[in-house]
Amino acid sequence: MNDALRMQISAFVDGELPDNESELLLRRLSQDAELRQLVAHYLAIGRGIRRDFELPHMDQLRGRIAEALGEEAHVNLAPIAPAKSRYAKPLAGLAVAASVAILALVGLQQVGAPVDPVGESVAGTESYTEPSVDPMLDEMFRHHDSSGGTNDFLQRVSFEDAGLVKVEPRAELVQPVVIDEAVDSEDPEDDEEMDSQAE
Amino acid sequence: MRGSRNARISVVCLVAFLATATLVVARDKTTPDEWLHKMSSAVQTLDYAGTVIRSQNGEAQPLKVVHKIIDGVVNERIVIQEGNGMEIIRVGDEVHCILPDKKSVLVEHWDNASTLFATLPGSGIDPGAQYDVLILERGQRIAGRSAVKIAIRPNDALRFEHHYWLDEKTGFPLRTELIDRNGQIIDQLKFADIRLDSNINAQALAPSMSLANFSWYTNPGNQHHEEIETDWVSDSLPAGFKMKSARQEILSGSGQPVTHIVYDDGLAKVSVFISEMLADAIGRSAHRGASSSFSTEVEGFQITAVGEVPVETVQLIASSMHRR
Repeated sequence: MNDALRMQISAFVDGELPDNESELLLRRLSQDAELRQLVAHYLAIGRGIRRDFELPHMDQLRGRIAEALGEEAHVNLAPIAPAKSRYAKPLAGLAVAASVAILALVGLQQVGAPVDPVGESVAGTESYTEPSVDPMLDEMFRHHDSSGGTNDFLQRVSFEDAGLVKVEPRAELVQPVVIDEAVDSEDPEDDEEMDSQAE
Repeated sequence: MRGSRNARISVVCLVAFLATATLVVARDKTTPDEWLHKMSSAVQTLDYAGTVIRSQNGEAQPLKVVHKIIDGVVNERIVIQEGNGMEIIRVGDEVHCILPDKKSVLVEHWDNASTLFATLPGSGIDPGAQYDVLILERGQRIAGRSAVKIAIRPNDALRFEHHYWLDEKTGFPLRTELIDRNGQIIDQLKFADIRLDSNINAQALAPSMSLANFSWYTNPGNQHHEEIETDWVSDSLPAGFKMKSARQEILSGSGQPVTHIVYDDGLAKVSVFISEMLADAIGRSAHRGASSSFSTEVEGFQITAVGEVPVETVQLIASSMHRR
């Protein structure tokens, strides 16, 4: 997992990721248990630092994650029993991922003062049933398809890939083009002309 | 005198009839193998525009396709007519996948010669060995054109059967089907209408919308690959399969390097991925569309074989891999 993706998740948790990028990340989350675990870490770290206060946008975030996971992922929304020490679990997370905490701190500095007390069900500590898809296997199928292994070219296209990076638009392709007809002429004799060329 | 003239006319008519009949017979003598060559040439050289229905797993997907060769380079625009309305713009190997509802463009590089027809039989196919090539039917109408139906039938249970309906005039594939061992169609591509036309408007190859506010993405990992010499081999490949390429590639989501070996029998391709142990998928098979996969462990490495072949074939190939 690369730093760009970690930064993206950090921004997402902080509610600062643009909508279109959030949508892509949510779709990725629905298929990637490792990513969900990382989001959980970030949220846990945030709660630890913030002495168990929820982020202001937590309800919205939780709703979007649940919506993205949908029925296929069978999200377990049952409340998690609170830990005996409300600091113990997040601080353990801090110890495990100190570098992640730095990222979270950077993010949290940009979030306003906490307004809501901790709810019993926190997105970061929810448990999930593993989706049936295997992202690694999906990637192997895509690599196979890209090598001309199948006619299923649509299978090759994935906007959910964690390795995506933003690039500059191709200037010559950003202008609108209005197309009415694919061919200049509707004269059926054109077909005959083409056929004779082909023969 | 009059009788002599009638006789001459009769002779002329007979000669004309025989000449025509000879031409028809000669035309009908195109062999199945020649039809395959004609098809391959037509796909590589003809310009076309039309509506394609792709069917897989019982789901049909209508597509609008424009394909034009400009200065020897493939230019293509494919628009999905339902769902997310994705547009695919292709210039040579560079592909732009435009998702209107996400206002996103994904830039990719595809190294196959044709987007719609990536798995047409190549010159490596040996009729009579692993496959028989047969003409099944003539004169069937597809997309308003007369077609000849060709079957490529495997001689063992380790590959699928392919059917092609070829335009009788040009050899262009108007319909293709992949058939499993139970006779079920597992993948179909069929033109509902088509113009084989040299007058395709070049503007029809451009995106249909402004991309001014779109975010553009690419996956550097997908472009990172290098040809390698590998010491991984299989001693039990099904007859006719040969190694086509061996590359070091990166699985982009995880950054995991893998060795990717492609085996090919002239028609079917099987990819073998050799990596560190990635998941608990050992001993499992899976399916995506018409492709199957099987993963196993050999010498502490995870071996995953993927291909448009029966699952027994990917299992056989994955399990037979070893270091030389």
